[in-house]
Amino acid sequence: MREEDIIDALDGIDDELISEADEARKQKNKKSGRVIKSLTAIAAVLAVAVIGVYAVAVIRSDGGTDGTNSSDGLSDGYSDNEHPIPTTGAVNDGNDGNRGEMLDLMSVTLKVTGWYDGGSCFMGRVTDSLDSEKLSKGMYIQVNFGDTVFLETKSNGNKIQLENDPTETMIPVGSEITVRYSVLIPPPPIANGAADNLTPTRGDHYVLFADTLVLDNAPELERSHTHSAAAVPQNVDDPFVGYCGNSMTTVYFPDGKVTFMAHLALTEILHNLDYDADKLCRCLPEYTVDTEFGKDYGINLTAGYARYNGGQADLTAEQIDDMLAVIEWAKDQPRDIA
Amino acid sequence: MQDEKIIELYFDRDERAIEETAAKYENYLFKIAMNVLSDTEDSRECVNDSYFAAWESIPPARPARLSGYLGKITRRISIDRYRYKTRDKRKESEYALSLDELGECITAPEGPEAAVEIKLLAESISRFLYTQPRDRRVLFLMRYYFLDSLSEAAERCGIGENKAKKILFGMRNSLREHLIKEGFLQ
Repeated sequence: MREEDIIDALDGIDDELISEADEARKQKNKKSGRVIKSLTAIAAVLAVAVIGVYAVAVIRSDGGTDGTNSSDGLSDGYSDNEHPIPTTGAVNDGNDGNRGEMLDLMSVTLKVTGWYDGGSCFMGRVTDSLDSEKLSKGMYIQVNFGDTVFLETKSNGNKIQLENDPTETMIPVGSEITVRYSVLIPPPPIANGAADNLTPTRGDHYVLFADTLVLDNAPELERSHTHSAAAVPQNVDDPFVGYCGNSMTTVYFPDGKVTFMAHLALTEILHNLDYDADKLCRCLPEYTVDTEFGKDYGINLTAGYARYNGGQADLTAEQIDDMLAVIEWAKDQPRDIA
Repeated sequence: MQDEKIIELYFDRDERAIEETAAKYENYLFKIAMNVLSDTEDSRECVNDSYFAAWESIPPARPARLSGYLGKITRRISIDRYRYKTRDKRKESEYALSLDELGECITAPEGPEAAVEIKLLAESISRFLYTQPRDRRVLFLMRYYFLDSLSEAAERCGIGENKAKKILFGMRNSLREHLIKEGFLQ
Protein backbone atom coordinates (compact mmCIF):
# COMPACT_ATOMS: atom_id res chain seq x y z
CA MET A 1 0.00 0.00 0.00
CA ARG A 2 1.17 3.49 -0.74
CA GLU A 3 0.52 6.47 1.41
CA GLU A 4 -1.32 7.90 -1.53
CA ASP A 5 -3.80 5.08 -1.15
CA ILE A 6 -4.80 6.50 2.19
CA ILE A 7 -5.24 9.94 0.69
CA ASP A 8 -7.39 8.43 -2.05
CA ALA A 9 -9.32 6.27 0.39
CA LEU A 10 -10.25 9.34 2.41
CA ASP A 11 -12.38 10.35 -0.56
CA GLY A 12 -14.57 7.38 0.18
CA ILE A 13 -15.02 7.69 3.93
CA ASP A 14 -18.44 8.39 5.36
CA ASP A 15 -19.84 11.75 4.31
CA GLU A 16 -20.88 12.28 7.90
CA LEU A 17 -17.24 12.35 8.95
CA ILE A 18 -16.33 14.81 6.23
CA SER A 19 -19.29 17.03 7.07
CA GLU A 20 -18.36 17.03 10.72
CA ALA A 21 -14.83 18.17 9.95
CA ASP A 22 -16.06 20.67 7.40
CA GLU A 23 -18.39 22.25 9.92
CA ALA A 24 -15.58 22.48 12.43
CA ARG A 25 -13.39 24.20 9.85
CA LYS A 26 -16.00 26.81 9.25
CA GLN A 27 -16.52 27.62 12.86
CA LYS A 28 -14.34 30.12 14.51
CA ASN A 29 -12.23 28.90 17.29
CA LYS A 30 -14.39 28.24 20.29
CA LYS A 31 -11.52 28.95 22.47
CA SER A 32 -10.40 32.43 21.80
CA GLY A 33 -6.80 32.11 21.05
CA ARG A 34 -4.27 29.93 22.67
CA VAL A 35 -1.90 32.42 24.02
CA ILE A 36 -2.23 35.78 25.58
CA LYS A 37 1.21 37.18 25.76
CA SER A 38 1.80 40.44 27.29
CA LEU A 39 4.39 41.70 29.60
CA THR A 40 2.39 44.80 30.33
CA ALA A 41 -0.38 45.05 32.85
CA ILE A 42 -3.41 44.75 30.63
CA ALA A 43 -6.89 44.05 31.65
CA ALA A 44 -7.60 40.58 30.25
CA VAL A 45 -11.18 39.49 30.14
CA LEU A 46 -11.67 35.78 30.25
CA ALA A 47 -15.13 34.46 29.65
CA VAL A 48 -15.63 31.37 31.68
CA ALA A 49 -18.33 29.06 30.45
CA VAL A 50 -19.25 26.54 33.02
CA ILE A 51 -22.08 24.17 33.09
CA GLY A 52 -24.13 23.59 36.16
CA VAL A 53 -25.98 25.35 38.86
CA TYR A 54 -25.29 28.42 40.77
CA ALA A 55 -21.92 28.92 42.26
CA VAL A 56 -21.80 28.35 45.93
CA ALA A 57 -19.03 30.03 47.74
CA VAL A 58 -18.57 32.59 50.36
CA ILE A 59 -17.04 35.79 49.24
CA ARG A 60 -14.80 37.51 51.58
CA SER A 61 -15.06 41.18 51.16
CA ASP A 62 -11.80 41.82 52.83
CA GLY A 63 -10.01 40.44 49.80
CA GLY A 64 -7.73 38.27 51.80
CA THR A 65 -7.49 35.25 53.95
CA ASP A 66 -8.50 35.03 57.50
CA GLY A 67 -5.01 34.05 58.26
CA THR A 68 -5.58 30.33 58.21
CA ASN A 69 -5.25 29.52 54.52
CA SER A 70 -7.00 26.28 55.13
CA SER A 71 -10.52 25.23 54.48
CA ASP A 72 -11.12 24.60 58.18
CA GLY A 73 -11.29 28.28 58.84
CA LEU A 74 -14.07 28.64 56.34
CA SER A 75 -16.51 26.18 57.69
CA ASP A 76 -18.06 28.36 60.29
CA GLY A 77 -21.75 27.90 60.54
CA TYR A 78 -22.10 25.32 57.79
CA SER A 79 -22.38 21.61 57.86
CA ASP A 80 -20.36 19.42 55.54
CA ASN A 81 -23.05 19.25 52.93
CA GLU A 82 -23.95 22.87 52.81
CA HIS A 83 -22.45 25.18 50.35
CA PRO A 84 -22.40 28.86 51.06
CA ILE A 85 -23.41 30.94 48.14
CA PRO A 86 -21.23 33.67 46.80
CA THR A 87 -22.16 37.20 47.39
CA THR A 88 -21.39 38.73 44.13
CA GLY A 89 -22.90 41.05 41.66
CA ALA A 90 -23.41 40.91 37.95
CA VAL A 91 -25.72 37.95 38.07
CA ASN A 92 -27.26 36.95 34.80
CA ASP A 93 -24.48 38.48 32.89
CA GLY A 94 -25.50 36.34 30.00
CA ASN A 95 -23.15 37.47 27.31
CA ASP A 96 -21.45 34.15 26.99
CA GLY A 97 -23.28 32.86 23.99
CA ASN A 98 -25.51 29.91 24.42
CA ARG A 99 -24.37 29.17 27.90
CA GLY A 100 -25.12 32.66 29.03
CA GLU A 101 -28.64 32.20 27.88
CA MET A 102 -29.03 29.02 29.81
CA LEU A 103 -27.42 29.81 33.08
CA ASP A 104 -27.25 32.48 35.66
CA LEU A 105 -23.63 33.39 35.55
CA MET A 106 -21.89 35.12 38.33
CA SER A 107 -19.22 37.56 37.47
CA VAL A 108 -16.29 38.59 39.52
CA THR A 109 -13.29 40.69 38.90
CA LEU A 110 -10.12 39.31 40.27
CA LYS A 111 -6.64 40.47 40.67
CA VAL A 112 -4.04 38.07 39.46
CA THR A 113 -1.35 37.41 41.98
CA GLY A 114 0.30 34.27 40.79
CA TRP A 115 -0.09 31.07 38.84
CA TYR A 116 0.60 27.48 39.57
CA ASP A 117 1.08 25.22 36.62
CA GLY A 118 -0.52 21.88 37.31
CA GLY A 119 -0.52 20.67 33.74
CA SER A 120 -3.97 20.77 32.32
CA CYS A 121 -5.22 22.70 35.26
CA PHE A 122 -3.97 25.09 37.75
CA MET A 123 -4.71 25.97 41.27
CA GLY A 124 -5.37 29.25 42.83
CA ARG A 125 -4.39 30.28 46.26
CA VAL A 126 -6.05 33.01 48.08
CA THR A 127 -3.35 35.04 49.50
CA ASP A 128 -1.85 38.28 48.58
CA SER A 129 1.55 36.90 49.12
CA LEU A 130 3.23 35.72 45.96
CA ASP A 131 4.70 32.31 45.50
CA SER A 132 8.17 33.56 44.98
CA GLU A 133 9.61 30.19 44.03
CA LYS A 134 7.19 29.68 41.22
CA LEU A 135 7.16 33.24 40.11
CA SER A 136 10.89 33.21 39.89
CA LYS A 137 10.58 30.76 37.04
CA GLY A 138 8.80 33.46 35.17
CA MET A 139 5.95 31.31 33.99
CA TYR A 140 3.43 31.23 36.71
CA ILE A 141 0.36 33.25 37.25
CA GLN A 142 -1.76 32.61 40.24
CA VAL A 143 -5.33 33.60 40.42
CA ASN A 144 -6.50 34.65 43.80
CA PHE A 145 -9.69 32.93 43.08
CA GLY A 146 -10.43 31.39 46.38
CA ASP A 147 -8.78 29.61 49.20
CA THR A 148 -7.87 26.86 46.81
CA VAL A 149 -9.89 26.47 43.72
CA PHE A 150 -9.45 23.73 41.22
CA LEU A 151 -9.38 25.18 37.73
CA GLU A 152 -9.42 23.53 34.39
CA THR A 153 -9.50 24.78 30.87
CA LYS A 154 -11.65 22.06 29.55
CA SER A 155 -15.35 21.98 29.64
CA ASN A 156 -16.44 20.47 32.88
CA GLY A 157 -19.61 21.32 34.62
CA ASN A 158 -18.04 21.05 38.01
CA LYS A 159 -15.19 23.35 37.52
CA ILE A 160 -14.39 26.84 36.56
CA GLN A 161 -12.69 26.88 33.28
CA LEU A 162 -10.66 29.45 31.54
CA GLU A 163 -11.02 29.87 27.88
CA ASN A 164 -7.35 29.65 27.18
CA ASP A 165 -4.97 26.90 27.97
CA PRO A 166 -3.32 28.11 31.15
CA THR A 167 -0.08 26.43 30.23
CA GLU A 168 0.14 28.76 27.31
CA THR A 169 -1.44 31.74 28.88
CA MET A 170 0.71 34.30 30.49
CA ILE A 171 -1.52 36.67 32.25
CA PRO A 172 0.61 39.33 33.84
CA VAL A 173 0.58 39.45 37.56
CA GLY A 174 -1.41 42.40 38.67
CA SER A 175 -3.87 42.17 35.83
CA GLU A 176 -7.53 42.34 36.50
CA ILE A 177 -9.56 39.61 34.97
CA THR A 178 -13.25 39.09 34.89
CA VAL A 179 -14.37 35.57 35.41
CA ARG A 180 -17.84 34.34 34.92
CA TYR A 181 -18.89 31.09 36.47
CA SER A 182 -21.87 29.24 37.60
CA VAL A 183 -20.36 26.41 39.49
CA LEU A 184 -17.48 26.15 41.80
CA ILE A 185 -16.23 22.92 43.09
CA PRO A 186 -14.85 22.65 46.54
CA PRO A 187 -11.13 22.90 46.79
CA PRO A 188 -9.20 19.74 47.28
CA PRO A 189 -8.04 19.06 50.78
CA ILE A 190 -4.54 20.33 50.44
CA ALA A 191 -2.03 21.13 53.03
CA ASN A 192 -1.12 24.70 53.61
CA GLY A 193 1.48 25.69 51.07
CA ALA A 194 1.20 22.52 49.04
CA ALA A 195 -1.01 21.32 46.23
CA ASP A 196 -0.53 17.58 46.33
CA ASN A 197 -4.07 16.43 46.03
CA LEU A 198 -5.79 17.64 42.93
CA THR A 199 -8.91 15.59 43.43
CA PRO A 200 -11.74 17.64 44.76
CA THR A 201 -13.93 16.14 47.42
CA ARG A 202 -17.63 16.76 47.48
CA GLY A 203 -18.82 18.54 50.52
CA ASP A 204 -15.66 20.47 51.05
CA HIS A 205 -16.05 24.11 51.67
CA TYR A 206 -14.64 26.59 49.34
CA VAL A 207 -14.31 30.26 49.22
CA LEU A 208 -14.11 32.79 46.52
CA PHE A 209 -11.93 35.71 47.26
CA ALA A 210 -11.43 38.81 45.29
CA ASP A 211 -9.49 41.89 45.75
CA THR A 212 -11.76 43.88 43.57
CA LEU A 213 -14.98 42.02 43.90
CA VAL A 214 -18.22 43.81 43.45
CA LEU A 215 -20.41 42.74 46.28
CA ASP A 216 -23.99 43.27 45.53
CA ASN A 217 -27.30 41.56 46.07
CA ALA A 218 -26.09 38.56 47.97
CA PRO A 219 -28.17 35.52 47.12
CA GLU A 220 -29.95 33.79 49.96
CA LEU A 221 -28.20 30.87 51.49
CA GLU A 222 -29.98 27.64 50.80
CA ARG A 223 -29.50 25.73 54.01
CA SER A 224 -31.47 22.62 53.50
CA HIS A 225 -32.24 20.69 50.38
CA THR A 226 -33.07 17.09 49.71
CA HIS A 227 -33.61 14.99 46.66
CA SER A 228 -35.47 11.80 46.14
CA ALA A 229 -35.62 9.48 43.19
CA ALA A 230 -38.60 9.83 40.92
CA ALA A 231 -41.21 7.10 41.11
CA VAL A 232 -41.79 7.16 37.36
CA PRO A 233 -39.58 8.42 34.54
CA GLN A 234 -39.97 12.13 34.04
CA ASN A 235 -39.82 11.97 30.29
CA VAL A 236 -41.19 14.10 27.54
CA ASP A 237 -44.52 13.01 26.08
CA ASP A 238 -42.99 11.46 23.00
CA PRO A 239 -39.64 10.00 23.94
CA PHE A 240 -37.27 9.20 21.12
CA VAL A 241 -36.06 5.65 20.77
CA GLY A 242 -33.67 3.89 18.45
CA TYR A 243 -30.33 5.56 18.83
CA CYS A 244 -27.57 4.79 16.41
CA GLY A 245 -24.72 2.77 17.84
CA ASN A 246 -22.36 5.39 16.48
CA SER A 247 -23.84 8.01 18.74
CA MET A 248 -21.02 9.65 20.66
CA THR A 249 -21.10 10.52 24.32
CA THR A 250 -18.54 12.44 26.34
CA VAL A 251 -18.26 12.31 30.11
CA TYR A 252 -16.08 14.80 31.89
CA PHE A 253 -14.06 13.76 34.91
CA PRO A 254 -11.74 15.88 37.05
CA ASP A 255 -8.73 14.44 35.27
CA GLY A 256 -10.05 14.55 31.76
CA LYS A 257 -12.84 13.49 29.52
CA VAL A 258 -13.81 10.21 27.97
CA THR A 259 -15.60 10.00 24.63
CA PHE A 260 -17.16 6.78 23.48
CA MET A 261 -19.72 5.18 21.22
CA ALA A 262 -22.47 2.74 22.16
CA HIS A 263 -23.27 2.62 25.92
CA LEU A 264 -26.34 4.62 25.00
CA ALA A 265 -28.03 4.78 28.39
CA LEU A 266 -26.80 8.29 29.10
CA THR A 267 -27.85 9.60 25.70
CA GLU A 268 -31.22 7.92 25.76
CA ILE A 269 -32.12 8.99 29.28
CA LEU A 270 -30.82 12.53 29.07
CA HIS A 271 -32.38 13.22 25.69
CA ASN A 272 -35.85 12.20 26.77
CA LEU A 273 -36.11 13.82 30.19
CA ASP A 274 -38.58 16.62 30.63
CA TYR A 275 -36.43 19.33 32.16
CA ASP A 276 -38.37 21.70 34.37
CA ALA A 277 -36.99 25.13 35.20
CA ASP A 278 -39.03 25.21 38.40
CA LYS A 279 -37.16 22.22 39.69
CA LEU A 280 -33.76 23.80 39.24
CA CYS A 281 -31.82 23.75 42.48
CA ARG A 282 -28.38 24.92 43.43
CA CYS A 283 -26.87 21.57 44.16
CA LEU A 284 -23.78 20.71 42.24
CA PRO A 285 -23.81 18.16 39.48
CA GLU A 286 -21.33 15.33 39.78
CA TYR A 287 -20.60 14.94 36.10
CA THR A 288 -21.05 16.84 32.90
CA VAL A 289 -22.05 14.93 29.81
CA ASP A 290 -22.18 15.80 26.13
CA THR A 291 -24.28 13.74 23.76
CA GLU A 292 -25.12 13.92 20.09
CA PHE A 293 -28.26 15.81 21.04
CA GLY A 294 -26.93 18.34 23.46
CA LYS A 295 -23.99 19.52 25.45
CA ASP A 296 -23.44 20.27 29.09
CA TYR A 297 -25.92 18.00 30.71
CA GLY A 298 -25.24 18.08 34.46
CA ILE A 299 -25.99 14.86 36.30
CA ASN A 300 -25.93 13.98 39.95
CA LEU A 301 -26.45 10.27 40.48
CA THR A 302 -26.18 10.50 44.26
CA ALA A 303 -29.02 12.96 44.54
CA GLY A 304 -30.68 11.54 41.43
CA TYR A 305 -31.26 14.37 39.01
CA ALA A 306 -30.18 15.64 35.64
CA ARG A 307 -29.96 19.20 34.53
CA TYR A 308 -30.03 20.72 31.08
CA ASN A 309 -30.77 23.99 29.43
CA GLY A 310 -31.94 25.71 32.58
CA GLY A 311 -34.19 22.90 33.73
CA GLN A 312 -33.93 19.87 35.94
CA ALA A 313 -35.52 16.45 36.14
CA ASP A 314 -35.41 13.79 38.81
CA LEU A 315 -34.22 10.35 37.86
CA THR A 316 -35.80 7.06 38.75
CA ALA A 317 -33.79 4.48 40.61
CA GLU A 318 -33.54 2.42 37.44
CA GLN A 319 -32.31 5.37 35.43
CA ILE A 320 -29.72 6.12 38.08
CA ASP A 321 -28.48 2.53 37.97
CA ASP A 322 -28.27 2.52 34.17
CA MET A 323 -26.41 5.80 34.07
CA LEU A 324 -24.13 4.81 36.91
CA ALA A 325 -23.13 1.67 35.05
CA VAL A 326 -21.97 3.77 32.11
CA ILE A 327 -20.19 6.29 34.32
CA GLU A 328 -18.38 3.55 36.20
CA TRP A 329 -17.32 1.96 32.93
CA ALA A 330 -16.17 5.32 31.56
CA LYS A 331 -14.11 6.00 34.68
CA ASP A 332 -11.87 3.09 33.77
CA GLN A 333 -11.31 4.27 30.24
CA PRO A 334 -8.27 6.27 29.22
CA ARG A 335 -8.81 9.99 29.11
CA ASP A 336 -8.96 11.73 25.79
CA ILE A 337 -5.94 13.70 24.77
CA ALA A 338 -7.20 17.24 24.88
CA MET B 1 -28.58 31.47 -1.92
CA GLN B 2 -29.45 28.37 0.01
CA ASP B 3 -28.01 25.07 -1.15
CA GLU B 4 -31.43 23.60 -1.89
CA LYS B 5 -32.18 26.40 -4.30
CA ILE B 6 -28.80 26.11 -5.97
CA ILE B 7 -29.37 22.39 -6.46
CA GLU B 8 -32.75 23.12 -7.98
CA LEU B 9 -31.04 25.37 -10.51
CA TYR B 10 -28.86 22.42 -11.47
CA PHE B 11 -31.92 20.25 -11.87
CA ASP B 12 -33.59 22.94 -13.95
CA ARG B 13 -30.41 23.11 -16.03
CA ASP B 14 -30.29 26.80 -15.28
CA GLU B 15 -26.76 28.08 -15.79
CA ARG B 16 -27.21 30.40 -12.84
CA ALA B 17 -26.42 27.28 -10.83
CA ILE B 18 -22.74 27.74 -11.65
CA GLU B 19 -22.83 31.45 -10.81
CA GLU B 20 -24.48 30.81 -7.51
CA THR B 21 -22.13 27.96 -6.73
CA ALA B 22 -19.14 30.13 -7.46
CA ALA B 23 -20.52 33.01 -5.45
CA LYS B 24 -20.96 30.82 -2.42
CA TYR B 25 -18.15 28.32 -2.64
CA GLU B 26 -15.36 29.68 -4.75
CA ASN B 27 -13.13 30.63 -1.84
CA TYR B 28 -13.84 27.39 -0.06
CA LEU B 29 -13.00 25.28 -3.10
CA PHE B 30 -10.03 27.39 -3.98
CA LYS B 31 -8.57 26.77 -0.53
CA ILE B 32 -8.95 23.04 -0.96
CA ALA B 33 -7.23 23.18 -4.33
CA MET B 34 -4.43 25.38 -3.03
CA ASN B 35 -3.78 22.98 -0.19
CA VAL B 36 -2.99 20.36 -2.80
CA LEU B 37 -1.39 22.36 -5.57
CA SER B 38 0.11 25.44 -3.95
CA ASP B 39 -0.34 27.14 -7.29
CA THR B 40 -2.88 29.85 -7.87
CA GLU B 41 -3.38 29.29 -11.56
CA ASP B 42 -3.70 25.54 -11.31
CA SER B 43 -6.03 25.90 -8.36
CA ARG B 44 -8.32 28.24 -10.26
CA GLU B 45 -8.45 25.82 -13.13
CA CYS B 46 -9.31 22.96 -10.82
CA VAL B 47 -12.08 24.97 -9.23
CA ASN B 48 -13.50 25.77 -12.65
CA ASP B 49 -13.23 22.10 -13.55
CA SER B 50 -15.13 21.34 -10.38
CA TYR B 51 -18.03 23.51 -11.48
CA PHE B 52 -18.14 21.62 -14.74
CA ALA B 53 -18.02 18.30 -12.91
CA ALA B 54 -20.85 19.42 -10.65
CA TRP B 55 -22.91 20.50 -13.66
CA GLU B 56 -22.36 17.13 -15.27
CA SER B 57 -23.24 15.13 -12.18
CA ILE B 58 -26.20 17.09 -10.80
CA PRO B 59 -28.62 15.63 -11.69
CA PRO B 60 -28.89 12.76 -11.14
CA ALA B 61 -26.95 13.33 -7.98
CA ARG B 62 -28.76 15.38 -5.38
CA PRO B 63 -26.15 16.08 -2.72
CA ALA B 64 -27.39 16.17 0.84
CA ARG B 65 -24.66 18.62 1.55
CA LEU B 66 -23.49 20.70 -1.36
CA SER B 67 -20.27 21.97 0.20
CA GLY B 68 -19.10 18.45 0.98
CA TYR B 69 -20.02 17.25 -2.48
CA LEU B 70 -18.21 20.07 -4.22
CA GLY B 71 -15.25 19.82 -1.87
CA LYS B 72 -14.84 16.17 -2.70
CA ILE B 73 -14.89 16.92 -6.42
CA THR B 74 -12.32 19.68 -6.09
CA ARG B 75 -10.11 17.57 -3.89
CA ARG B 76 -10.16 14.72 -6.39
CA ILE B 77 -9.48 16.96 -9.37
CA SER B 78 -6.68 18.75 -7.57
CA ILE B 79 -4.98 15.56 -6.46
CA ASP B 80 -5.17 14.17 -9.98
CA ARG B 81 -3.75 17.39 -11.32
CA TYR B 82 -0.98 17.29 -8.79
CA ARG B 83 -0.03 13.74 -9.64
CA TYR B 84 -0.10 14.49 -13.33
CA LYS B 85 2.12 17.50 -12.97
CA THR B 86 4.62 16.07 -10.57
CA ARG B 87 4.61 12.40 -11.46
CA ASP B 88 7.83 11.15 -9.99
CA LYS B 89 8.86 14.34 -8.36
CA ARG B 90 6.83 15.74 -5.49
CA LYS B 91 6.36 19.42 -5.39
CA GLU B 92 6.22 20.96 -2.01
CA SER B 93 2.65 21.39 -0.92
CA GLU B 94 0.47 20.43 1.98
CA TYR B 95 -0.54 17.42 -0.06
CA ALA B 96 3.07 16.32 -0.29
CA LEU B 97 3.66 16.95 3.38
CA SER B 98 0.58 14.96 4.24
CA LEU B 99 1.82 12.09 2.14
CA ASP B 100 5.11 12.12 3.99
CA GLU B 101 3.34 12.06 7.33
CA LEU B 102 0.97 9.31 6.33
CA GLY B 103 3.91 7.35 5.01
CA GLU B 104 4.70 6.66 8.62
CA CYS B 105 1.48 4.65 8.87
CA ILE B 106 2.44 2.14 6.31
CA THR B 107 5.29 0.03 5.22
CA ALA B 108 6.64 -0.51 1.76
CA PRO B 109 4.51 -2.59 -0.57
CA GLU B 110 4.80 -6.26 0.13
CA GLY B 111 4.18 -8.50 -2.78
CA PRO B 112 1.12 -8.68 -4.96
CA GLU B 113 -1.23 -8.27 -2.00
CA ALA B 114 0.00 -4.73 -1.54
CA ALA B 115 -2.65 -3.47 -3.95
CA VAL B 116 -5.75 -3.09 -1.82
CA GLU B 117 -9.19 -2.04 -2.84
CA ILE B 118 -9.52 1.64 -2.02
CA LYS B 119 -13.13 1.25 -1.12
CA LEU B 120 -12.40 -1.35 1.53
CA LEU B 121 -9.66 0.84 2.83
CA ALA B 122 -12.04 3.80 2.99
CA GLU B 123 -14.53 1.78 5.00
CA SER B 124 -11.81 0.66 7.33
CA ILE B 125 -10.58 4.20 7.86
CA SER B 126 -14.16 5.29 8.55
CA ARG B 127 -14.44 2.61 11.20
CA PHE B 128 -11.19 3.79 12.70
CA LEU B 129 -12.24 7.41 12.74
CA TYR B 130 -15.52 6.62 14.46
CA THR B 131 -13.59 5.12 17.35
CA GLN B 132 -11.74 8.37 17.84
CA PRO B 133 -12.96 11.34 19.89
CA ARG B 134 -14.62 13.92 17.76
CA ASP B 135 -11.95 16.54 18.26
CA ARG B 136 -9.23 14.21 17.15
CA ARG B 137 -10.91 12.88 14.08
CA VAL B 138 -11.83 16.39 13.01
CA LEU B 139 -8.18 17.38 13.31
CA PHE B 140 -7.15 14.30 11.36
CA LEU B 141 -9.51 15.08 8.50
CA MET B 142 -8.58 18.74 8.45
CA ARG B 143 -5.00 17.66 7.93
CA TYR B 144 -5.37 14.67 5.62
CA TYR B 145 -8.66 15.17 3.84
CA PHE B 146 -8.86 18.93 3.53
CA LEU B 147 -5.05 19.08 3.53
CA ASP B 148 -4.98 22.14 5.74
CA SER B 149 -1.56 23.00 7.02
CA LEU B 150 -0.70 21.82 10.50
CA SER B 151 -0.85 25.33 11.88
CA GLU B 152 -4.20 26.03 10.24
CA ALA B 153 -5.70 22.80 11.43
CA ALA B 154 -4.40 23.39 14.94
CA GLU B 155 -5.78 26.88 15.02
CA ARG B 156 -9.17 25.76 13.77
CA CYS B 157 -9.25 23.16 16.51
CA GLY B 158 -8.25 25.70 19.07
CA ILE B 159 -5.04 24.00 20.08
CA GLY B 160 -1.36 24.70 19.76
CA GLU B 161 0.61 23.39 16.84
CA ASN B 162 2.76 21.18 19.02
CA LYS B 163 -0.27 19.60 20.59
CA ALA B 164 -1.80 19.04 17.16
CA LYS B 165 1.39 17.42 16.01
CA LYS B 166 1.36 15.06 18.96
CA ILE B 167 -2.27 14.18 18.46
CA LEU B 168 -1.75 13.45 14.77
CA PHE B 169 1.30 11.40 15.53
CA GLY B 170 -0.70 9.33 17.97
CA MET B 171 -3.52 8.94 15.49
CA ARG B 172 -1.24 7.84 12.71
CA ASN B 173 0.16 5.18 15.01
CA SER B 174 -3.33 4.12 15.98
CA LEU B 175 -4.39 4.05 12.34
CA ARG B 176 -1.44 1.90 11.57
CA GLU B 177 -2.39 -0.57 14.28
CA HIS B 178 -5.95 -0.52 13.06
CA LEU B 179 -4.92 -1.26 9.49
CA ILE B 180 -2.72 -4.10 10.68
CA LYS B 181 -5.59 -5.52 12.68
CA GLU B 182 -7.90 -5.31 9.69
CA GLY B 183 -5.38 -6.96 7.42
CA PHE B 184 -4.40 -4.05 5.22
CA LEU B 185 -0.90 -4.07 6.55
CA GLN B 186 1.32 -6.72 7.96
